[in-house]
Amino acid sequence: MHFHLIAWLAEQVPDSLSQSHEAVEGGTDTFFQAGETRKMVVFLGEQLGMKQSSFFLSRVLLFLLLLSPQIALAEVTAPSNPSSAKECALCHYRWIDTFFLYGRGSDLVPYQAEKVVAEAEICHSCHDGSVADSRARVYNDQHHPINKPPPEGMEIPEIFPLDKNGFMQCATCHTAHGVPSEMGMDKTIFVRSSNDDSGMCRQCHKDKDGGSDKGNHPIDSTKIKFSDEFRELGAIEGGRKNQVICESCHRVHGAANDKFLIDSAQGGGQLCLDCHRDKEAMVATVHDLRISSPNSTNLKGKTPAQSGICGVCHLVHGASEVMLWGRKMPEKSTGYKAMDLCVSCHQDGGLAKNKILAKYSHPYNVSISDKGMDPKLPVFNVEGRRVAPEQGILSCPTCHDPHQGRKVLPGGVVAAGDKFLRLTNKPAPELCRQCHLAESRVELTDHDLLAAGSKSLNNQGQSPAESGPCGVCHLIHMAEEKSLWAIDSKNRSRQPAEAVCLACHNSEGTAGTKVLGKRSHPVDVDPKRLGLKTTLPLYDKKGKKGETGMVTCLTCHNPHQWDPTKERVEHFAGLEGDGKNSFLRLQSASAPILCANCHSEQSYVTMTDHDMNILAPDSQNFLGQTPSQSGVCGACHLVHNGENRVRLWARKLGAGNGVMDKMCKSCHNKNDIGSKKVPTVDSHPEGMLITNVGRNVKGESNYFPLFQERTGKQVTVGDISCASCHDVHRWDPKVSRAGTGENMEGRATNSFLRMQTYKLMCIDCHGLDALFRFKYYHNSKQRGPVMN
Amino acid sequence: MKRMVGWYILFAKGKPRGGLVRDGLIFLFVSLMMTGPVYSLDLTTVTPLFDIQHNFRQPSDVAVAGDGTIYVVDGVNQCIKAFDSNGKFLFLFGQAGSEPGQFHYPLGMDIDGAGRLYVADSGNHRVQIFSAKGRFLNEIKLKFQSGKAPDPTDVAVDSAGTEIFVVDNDNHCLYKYDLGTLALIEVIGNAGITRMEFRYPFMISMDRDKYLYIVDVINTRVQEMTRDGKFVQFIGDWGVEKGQFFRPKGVAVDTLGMVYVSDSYMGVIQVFDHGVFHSVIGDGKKGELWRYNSPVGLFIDKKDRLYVVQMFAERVSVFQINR
Repeated sequence: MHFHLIAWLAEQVPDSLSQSHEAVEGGTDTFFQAGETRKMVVFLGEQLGMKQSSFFLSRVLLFLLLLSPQIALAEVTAPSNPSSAKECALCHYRWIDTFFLYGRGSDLVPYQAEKVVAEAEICHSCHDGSVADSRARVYNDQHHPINKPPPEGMEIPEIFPLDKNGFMQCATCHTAHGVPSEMGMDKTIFVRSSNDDSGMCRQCHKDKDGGSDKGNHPIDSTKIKFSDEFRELGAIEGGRKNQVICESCHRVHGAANDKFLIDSAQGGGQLCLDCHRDKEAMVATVHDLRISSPNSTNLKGKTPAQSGICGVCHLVHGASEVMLWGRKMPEKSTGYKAMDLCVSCHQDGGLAKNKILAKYSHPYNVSISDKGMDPKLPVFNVEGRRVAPEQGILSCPTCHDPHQGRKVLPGGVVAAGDKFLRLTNKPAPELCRQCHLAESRVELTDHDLLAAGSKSLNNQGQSPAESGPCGVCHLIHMAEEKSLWAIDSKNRSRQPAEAVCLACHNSEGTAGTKVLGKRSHPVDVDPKRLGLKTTLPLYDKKGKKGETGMVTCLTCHNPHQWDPTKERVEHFAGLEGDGKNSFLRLQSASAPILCANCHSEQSYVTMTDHDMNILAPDSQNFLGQTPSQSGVCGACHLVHNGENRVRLWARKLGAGNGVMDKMCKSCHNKNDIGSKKVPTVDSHPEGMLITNVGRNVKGESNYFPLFQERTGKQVTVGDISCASCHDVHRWDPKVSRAGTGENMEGRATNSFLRMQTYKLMCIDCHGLDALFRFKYYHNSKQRGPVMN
Repeated sequence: MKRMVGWYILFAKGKPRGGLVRDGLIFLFVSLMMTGPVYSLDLTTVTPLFDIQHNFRQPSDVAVAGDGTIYVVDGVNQCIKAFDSNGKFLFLFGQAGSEPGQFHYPLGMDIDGAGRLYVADSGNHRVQIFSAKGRFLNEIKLKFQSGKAPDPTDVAVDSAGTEIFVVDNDNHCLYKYDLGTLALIEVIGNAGITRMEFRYPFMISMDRDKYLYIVDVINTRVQEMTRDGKFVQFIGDWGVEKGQFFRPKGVAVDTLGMVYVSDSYMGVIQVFDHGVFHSVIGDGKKGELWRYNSPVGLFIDKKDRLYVVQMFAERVSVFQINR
């Protein structure tokens, strides 16, 4: 009877209420233990409208039910359906009937008045492996804080509930009931908001967003590829390939490291290096402040050991806007923030006070692009951000990569290295080559003293092996003079553009076998004053290169390039050169391009009968060079180390009274290559005190030079020589170009005669009897044999 | 030993507002109708011997060899640690990985009469067998059930080491293997709430008579069955009253055949006699139940020492059960 009463009462329970209370089903299989009976009675009493203050009826019902031993001692049988109230109370501990209905505790546990469903202990009671195994992911030492209030000032959106104390709990982010993130049940998530691309993290951690503009590591960047190792650590990318999100570095649950990072950022900064692998070479260098300055601190007051090798200089969050800089900037800015970063240590009193910018250095804070250079090196704007080449300037980090350093060997010894250069400068000058491509062709030439095996030292005491090919002659930092020459500036008698050459090219120097003799092409002369035009570089007294100035070694020679026609290095030190190479700025052989740059009119000799390449290709000058080696000019003129001072004549002088005639007769004699062109009579009466005033201006059509016999210098009173009438460099005075290469018989209008000769040919002096006189002087039949 | 420790106040929640005398009379009447006090607590008292703390990270189970060597599953540290009978550290074996002898978050463990250890290597979906010194001997690779990875959480092995029962937590069933051939003999149970059905079975224990006790976590009960997979009885039910469970986790059987069940959330260990609530582990001196911090794995050795793994407290507490 009692059972039927209960069954009847149970049927009166509204369905809506059954959701929050344990409804026992099972028909005759259902039984109530003593406690269950009490629960049912109280429960039914409530449903029948009884107030808590009128529990009398409930107690009567209890009494009646207890009278039924049939019920109390029934066999334990399994329910056929789970109890909905139990399913809720499995987590909602407070809702267990003992607490919720009866308002009391039990023999085993105290009364639970407060909500604990969101507390870690409840979650752990299933996530300990007994239902789900979250031991490592959630309940280790490093996880998102719970049982704590959010950081001061952090705004927590309302969808993330805090507990009654305002503390974060599991349920702040999680809900066991699931939230649909998108359409469809399969998109249900157990966090309160979609965390795609760390969207949930960002709702609270707004101060960590915004990228470097806000002093934070960039989020959403896809520049760097996630390595396999990084992924294995648990790094998660966003919706886009390699998209950095919060969970790329942080694992909210189960991280093994401080700040729930997936890898340690302390010590060697492995987390950072997981992505920024190109920075790994900094470990154990002098920029590894764990070694060089273990007691220094970053902006957050952390030592290198605490911050990690990367955190010493960079803060992932809360950094300055430039390069996420995490150290104090210099009190006096250089005006360029990229440079300020370096100067923050490399300054007087700084951590790197022994490595500061002093004396003269390679130009910085200048536009590379403006100079027409396009290196694969970074340039920076004033704010210190890396920008496109045409927008930026050269700064310290253009050439230096503070992460690419020298190794500190055990015992603190710094191994020879590359001074944190982005690219190496030895043995090949890869870094300098980026901007100074043409100059870098010095590599492996005789001027690459590293290749040439020189033991010379630059003025910083560095051997070529230490300085690299460029550093032999040029200093990047700590130069004594603005020109940055690496040669000793003291006791220098020549201007710098020559002195730097002569520092080696002297009898005691490294290039002692390549010493200038006394008879060389003039230097320290201004071509303009000589009426010469040139595109070759000229130099002032300070060695500054320009379009004006004086001829120096470097006017004709490019010490950086052995062969002006070859951009690739093909020459190896030790070869003997000729007019095609020899560090000439332009070739002088076989075409006289270099010489023609100043001596354009003389270059018309090319392909004429005076071009030895045509006339006598096997002939040799004083140096034993054939015309193809020496070039057309070099066949007759030696720029260096000749035997003759006058005209640097390269051949044996012939007979004659004056040096000018002797030079002609070097060839134009019966025994030499001009034997077929020997005038029978070639002398003009001497001692006639001929004057050519008015006809002595070179370039004028009546130019008729007279030459001093011994020196060959022009005079206005003297004797006529071959060169008075002949311009040996031009076949036809009316044609301003080189010859055709044809061996032509000349006429009175060409034949290397000057314009003066063509037009006036003796007439202006001798009138109508000029022809007679010419024949008299040149035709043996008229006058008799010439006396040699 | 059983001991009454008090009366429970039936009308504890506030004072009756309608007729104190009337309610009092009813209370007296009801009390008289019953044969004893309405609420009482019987204790099985234990004497604490020592605690083992050895940089555990959420240890989960314990097993004790015949020579007294105590083995603890230090799951998050991916190893098994061995201690002598006084709790002195002896050695450990295992590390993270999936190679033989390596672990991926192991949970449960049992030991046979020869001292061989059987470890439920949950994350690697296998059971590994080790010598008493931790040398890898063999493994049982569990098969996927309908495409779902097996999740072995505990094992029970007979003393002779001929049969092993493996609990698959995620697939809500047990596997019975022949240890001689390592062949699967039988899959026992499936998901559900009736007899021989489970919702997240977790830990298992076998008594001297080879009856098996499986903690059925979400069904909040222990199921007792024969080694042939036949249902015997339910032990315990849902709730927080004595004889009820909120989060049952570990189970062990003492020399008298009493069944001990830990409840990790309530922090108590209850004792059942033939399926009926008998008592709660308590402190005899104080007359109070013993409150543990997330008790999980249990073991009772032949000397009736009770070993309790307190997962959150990251320690193993050893007690002598008082008789």
